[in-house]
Amino acid sequence: MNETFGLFLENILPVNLVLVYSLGVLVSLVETDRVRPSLTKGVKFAFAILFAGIFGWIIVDSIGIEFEFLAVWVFFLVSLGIIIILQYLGELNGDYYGLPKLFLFMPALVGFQWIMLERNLVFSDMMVTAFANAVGFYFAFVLIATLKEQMRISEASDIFKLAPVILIGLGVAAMGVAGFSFLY
Amino acid sequence: MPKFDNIFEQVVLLGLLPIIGGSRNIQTAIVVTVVLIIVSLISRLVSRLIKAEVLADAHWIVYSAFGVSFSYIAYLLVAFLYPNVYQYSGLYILLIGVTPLTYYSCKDNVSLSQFWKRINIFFITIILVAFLRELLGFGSILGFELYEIGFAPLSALGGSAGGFIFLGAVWILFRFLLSLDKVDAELFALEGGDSNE
Repeated sequence: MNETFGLFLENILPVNLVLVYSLGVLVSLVETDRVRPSLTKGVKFAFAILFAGIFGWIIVDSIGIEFEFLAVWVFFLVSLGIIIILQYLGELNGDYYGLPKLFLFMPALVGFQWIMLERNLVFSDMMVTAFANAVGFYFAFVLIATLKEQMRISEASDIFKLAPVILIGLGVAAMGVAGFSFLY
Repeated sequence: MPKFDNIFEQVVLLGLLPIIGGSRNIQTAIVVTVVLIIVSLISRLVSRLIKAEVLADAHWIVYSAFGVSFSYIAYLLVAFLYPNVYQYSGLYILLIGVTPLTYYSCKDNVSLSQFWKRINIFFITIILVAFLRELLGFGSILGFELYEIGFAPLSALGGSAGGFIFLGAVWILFRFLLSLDKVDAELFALEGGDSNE
């Protein structure tokens, strides 16, 4: 198998941030509603992950190793810029438990950029990794929307509905995905 | 349909990332909680020193900029003081600076006792999840091996999958106790107009 294609496949599921580092779980839990609107909403969030990864990496790579300690603030500002664009596109507006919704997505963006930096990737691998993670995040986003929709119409007790069972479902999915890692 | 909207659910949702990432073992859970408390208190102090009206809607960005800076310092300190915590959970120490729960105390109408109540719930939850993960995922408690060296009853649950599953289980247990009136619902009632809607 081509090495780049292998890297792409690997980053879609077995080492995807949503399942491995659980970075995008909160925003997926909160921002998903029904499946149909989540299909388009997920695209916006996936592009946000993609562009945050690319811009953060390029800026930190260009400032040089002697200023690498500034990386965390670069990532913070890049994430903020991406979130402002998302808000302009109609996402992440309003409050959640009295806090602005920007805090829901900020950990995913900053964490994703930080991991990309720690991996010491070359430019082509970074592009493939960012794209694959965005695709994987989109799948997880739609998966969570599907789980939420199914749970709303299910006859199960309210105790088992939504967030806690979604978390257990994600845990089982993570174990399942890890079980197929021998393929890569 | 009874609405499960209370302080426990608020704390778990707002602090989801540190709970999942920082519950690898009990030591990590304690370090993550301490960092969360320190960064939260510093952010609260910053929020009380800076006039929100002057910054209009940008005050949350200023608070989080300070929060990220202090969590970065904590990240470097943990790397130096607790290398084993840093190795697996360093990222989550850094991300405390952008975790929603960190900034809950920065709200105008939140008292220190309300904040402390949430920290207690966070600590109990993360310790419970960490205890189960360390015991079943790694076969140890506070680093002491309970079985033969290297043996873990359910090693697949040592990773993030275990964090998801045990947190989900603790959450369901809480809801179950709430539905049986074994937990005082008044104690966990949300103050003010907070809502997850």
